[in-house]
Amino acid sequence: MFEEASQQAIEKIKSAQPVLVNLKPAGKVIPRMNKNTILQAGPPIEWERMCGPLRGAVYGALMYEELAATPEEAEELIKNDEILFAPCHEHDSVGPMAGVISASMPVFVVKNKEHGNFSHCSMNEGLGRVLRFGAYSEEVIRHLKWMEMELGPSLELAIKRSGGINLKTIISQALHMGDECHNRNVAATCLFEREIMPYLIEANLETRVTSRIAKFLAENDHFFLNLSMAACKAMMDVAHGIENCTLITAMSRNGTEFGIRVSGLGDQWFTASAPTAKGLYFPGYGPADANPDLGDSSITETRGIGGFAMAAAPALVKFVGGTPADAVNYTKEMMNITVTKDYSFTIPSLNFEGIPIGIDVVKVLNTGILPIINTGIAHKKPNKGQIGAGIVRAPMECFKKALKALVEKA
Amino acid sequence: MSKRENLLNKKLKVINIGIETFVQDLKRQGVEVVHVDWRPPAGGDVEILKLLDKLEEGVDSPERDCSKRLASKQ
Repeated sequence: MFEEASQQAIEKIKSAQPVLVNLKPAGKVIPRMNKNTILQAGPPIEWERMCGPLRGAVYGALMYEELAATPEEAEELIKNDEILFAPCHEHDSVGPMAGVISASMPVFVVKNKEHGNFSHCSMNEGLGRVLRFGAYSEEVIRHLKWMEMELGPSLELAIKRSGGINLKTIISQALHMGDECHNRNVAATCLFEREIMPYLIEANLETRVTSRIAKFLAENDHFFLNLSMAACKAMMDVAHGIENCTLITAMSRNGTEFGIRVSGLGDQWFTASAPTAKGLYFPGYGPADANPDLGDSSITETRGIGGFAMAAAPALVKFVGGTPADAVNYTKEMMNITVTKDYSFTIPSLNFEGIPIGIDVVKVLNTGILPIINTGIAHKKPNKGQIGAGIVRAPMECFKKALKALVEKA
Repeated sequence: MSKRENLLNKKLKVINIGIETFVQDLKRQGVEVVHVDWRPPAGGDVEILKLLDKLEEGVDSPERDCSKRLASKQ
């Protein structure tokens, strides 16, 4: 019964074909999204329990939308119940770190051409003091406005001219070039640029506009992360809602709680306190400054890339800590808690072994091995930004709660 | 000579299950040792072990046999 359900889910995940088809303001394409909606990473959370970086990103988004001029005005709106918070995941979307998406932000639209479902993700702003790490200074808002007014519409033209860009192919190639498409996206970003650039030039924009966009893409090694996330979301959503299926379809964090969703258990989240990553810090910062883990980007691990495919990205250990041997061991270890391998994505250093896919609640509990995630580390206070990167494990408590629900339902 | 004495008089070959620090101690003493990376299912949580058994009834797996044995010992 459980095995058949798992097989059905795996076939759907493997056959999914995520293609980038559009780039539009969130309010125009994300379901049930209006001017007062703020989407956030992770499981649902009310304002009072939100962590510093998530609060910072909410202030920034409300100021960017010109609904508030200051953080104080933003708090006033929130306390008057004028803002509706909801998880990105519940709106066919994902967002890295704080994961905040507001109506005017341009979002990538990814279509799973095999099954017809859509997913969305914001565009990557770059590293350092950026909204997704809780920064909301004037400079951050100005950059978001540039993304809305110039970058978004220009890339939209290029994407439309391209007829759609197959993201699965890019991820597959990037895994052969040293990326794992969560915290290392150097190759995938280059491959994406190679695809989009001819269409951007054909769009016949002013030379200085094309030049600014080309420069921004070239300087941002993480640009593809948000596309990788949207692709993984589109691939995982088709495995959700299968009766008796014990596979995980989403792992995500809001900086206060870590949550998982299980295919056979509807839209319920199973949560525990968010753990703090162990890793490498930028000069001047340490573990005492770190916020517990946050972001929807662990959708990549849920799909079997990111930390699950770290054997493909030995250089990443210079960013998140550990040794290349650790990276190989993480991938091998994850094969104990997944139901199969996916040869659409292979790892050269493991003799072209497929990535481990299909995290099974029962296998996690039986083995005691917890899913591994590589992640950015945000400062625990608002308006500070990124302070490092590291490794974290999903908390056991989420899986215990999910198991109880599975037994009750069986 | 008992089986135990016989064992200690021969060159030892050890399979270590679980706690990895024992491996290092044995290696330092020149003992041939293989480590098996094993953790108690559900971290040894008896309630969860019982739930796992309930859910997995009719499914054969070495982990399940082991978890049943562990649960019965509590």
